[in-house]
Amino acid sequence: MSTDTSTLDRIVSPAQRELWYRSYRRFADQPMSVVGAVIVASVITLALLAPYIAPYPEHVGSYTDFANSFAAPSLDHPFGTDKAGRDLLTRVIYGYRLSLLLAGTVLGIGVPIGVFLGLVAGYSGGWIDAAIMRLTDTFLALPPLVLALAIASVFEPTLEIAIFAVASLWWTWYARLTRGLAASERSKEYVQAAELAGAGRLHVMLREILPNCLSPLLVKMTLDAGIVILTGASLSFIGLGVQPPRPGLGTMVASGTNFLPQQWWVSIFPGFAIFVLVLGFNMLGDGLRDMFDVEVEQ
Amino acid sequence: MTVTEPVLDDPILEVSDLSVGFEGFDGYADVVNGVNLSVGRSEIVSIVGETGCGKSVTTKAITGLLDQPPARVSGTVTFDGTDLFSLPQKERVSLNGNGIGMVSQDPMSSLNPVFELGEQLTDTAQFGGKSPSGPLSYVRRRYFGEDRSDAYQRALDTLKQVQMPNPEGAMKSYPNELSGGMCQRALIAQALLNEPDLLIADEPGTALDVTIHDKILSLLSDIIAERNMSILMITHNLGVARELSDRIYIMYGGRIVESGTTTEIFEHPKHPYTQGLLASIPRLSSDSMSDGIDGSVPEYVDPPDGCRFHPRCPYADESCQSQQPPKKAFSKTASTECVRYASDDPGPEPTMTETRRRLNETAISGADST
Repeated sequence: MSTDTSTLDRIVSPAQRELWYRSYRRFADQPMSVVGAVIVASVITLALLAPYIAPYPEHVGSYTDFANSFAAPSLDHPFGTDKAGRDLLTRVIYGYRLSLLLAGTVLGIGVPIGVFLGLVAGYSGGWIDAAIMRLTDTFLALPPLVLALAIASVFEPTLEIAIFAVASLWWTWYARLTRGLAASERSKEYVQAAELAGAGRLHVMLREILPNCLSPLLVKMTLDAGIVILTGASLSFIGLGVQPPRPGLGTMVASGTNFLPQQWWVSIFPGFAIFVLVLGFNMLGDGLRDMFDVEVEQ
Repeated sequence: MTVTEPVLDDPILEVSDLSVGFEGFDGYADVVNGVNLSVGRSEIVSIVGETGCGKSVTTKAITGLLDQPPARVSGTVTFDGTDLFSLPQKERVSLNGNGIGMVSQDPMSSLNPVFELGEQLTDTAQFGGKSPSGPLSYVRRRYFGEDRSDAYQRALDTLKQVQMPNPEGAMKSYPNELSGGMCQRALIAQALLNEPDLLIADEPGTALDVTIHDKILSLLSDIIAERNMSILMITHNLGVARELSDRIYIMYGGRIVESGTTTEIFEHPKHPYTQGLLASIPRLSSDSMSDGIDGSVPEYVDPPDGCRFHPRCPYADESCQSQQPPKKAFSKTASTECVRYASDDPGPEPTMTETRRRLNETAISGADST
């Protein structure tokens, strides 16, 4: 036992663990944020392990079983089946995969671009700042859904195009947020102290300013993940995102609308799935915000 | 005698005719107005003045920390033979740290809150004052090879030199876990890491309580004696200046109003402002409170005409309001800007006793009139 502790101590010092524990307490003291974290974690697990968890993995594609068409929710098919007789639970689990893929890729592309542009703008000031921020303003003037619609209707509407369309607008919020944070950080004394100690531009931007802007960015990313998923589902709903037979959550809601209210499960369960995931991300984001004690413009 | 600057044959820092102004909403604030000063090799020079006299702005202009615009900086600053204002950005960066180090006045906010002290100091030791050499070599030096551990060791040694209690523990602490005195020591260590030739100390320790302040100052004077550096110290405390410095510049309203060696300033204060500052040092021997100087530092957007001190000066007359007093030199090092010394036969020199009496009088008459 004693050897165990010392090994642990060597990896993470007790002071560090104490710090982590205190952050964890601040987070866990709000039941909402814990619920959010649990939702997000279980959805991610579901999505990752979909082939092993989903009851009928073969129902994901263009499988048909018209004998079971529109089966009501039962023990065999907890969410019922759709028109082609495919198990909806399976398709919802796979739909989470696509939703998370969308959120991950959009944020994975948009956040680094936005953060970098914002850092450069906020730290440089002057005409560089003006140029970057006016460009950002131009992009901000376009509503994301409308531009996504335009792009998706020019190209073949697929999930990939939808991701590209949403990502091409999503960086703007991060550029603007980071720019504001960086501009207020750069006049802090420790940044000046670093400059006086002879730190280069990149060092000041990446090692002095960026780490001090991280918590609002992380909170915004978590809150945004839900909104991106919602945007993606909206695009799918109007037929410009995931195309059938791929199991997009928005696509499934759309395909079920024809059969309301008799075959309610076809729309309601995928819709509820979107709701739960977005709610989870929002609750987690709020929890993180309380934990880091930051203000994020909503 | 005529111009006295530079007072030394081979100054390490020479500032001539430095002016700094700020473009603001209510007009142009003329904050530093033609400052000349010099610091010799291994000399300790203090700039003394009230808060708001432009001392910190002067140091920020010297170190290039002011954003232009809104600031407008003119004049020349020569460090070790190089003109700082015409230096390209890259060389300027490498000069900071290697050539000029700075200890700023607020220790608690001058350390990056998200990194351990050791991390920051090691970064300074490893990269401070090196001109940027590209991300690849940065990553290589930062994460691979012996370079990093050498730098860590150097940071630790410097912390020991500044008498940081438990230096190993401090290296692993975040700035918020350190006391103000420890942060100040860490900052001094950071400034010393790359062995600058000139250290600019902007009111070191003022944010701390007096006992720690005193310890920091004695630490500084030990380091000065040991390292043979040049120091430009900013302070509003004449006592500190007297204890540590070789020469003193008295600054008021963005101008150097008097300069001289420490002895010259304290034995024969010439300018009424200097005399007022000296008169306002509390004395244990007298019953009454020490005398202050009435009024406050001028507005910089619309400064008083002529001598900027005249609204507060117990000797002021019409000539003070109309013209900027010429600079009058008394020795190789001492000079002052006051009309009383402008003519060749200025009459009897005012003494400290007389200044005290007059300050008292103005204080009383000022109290009556309100």
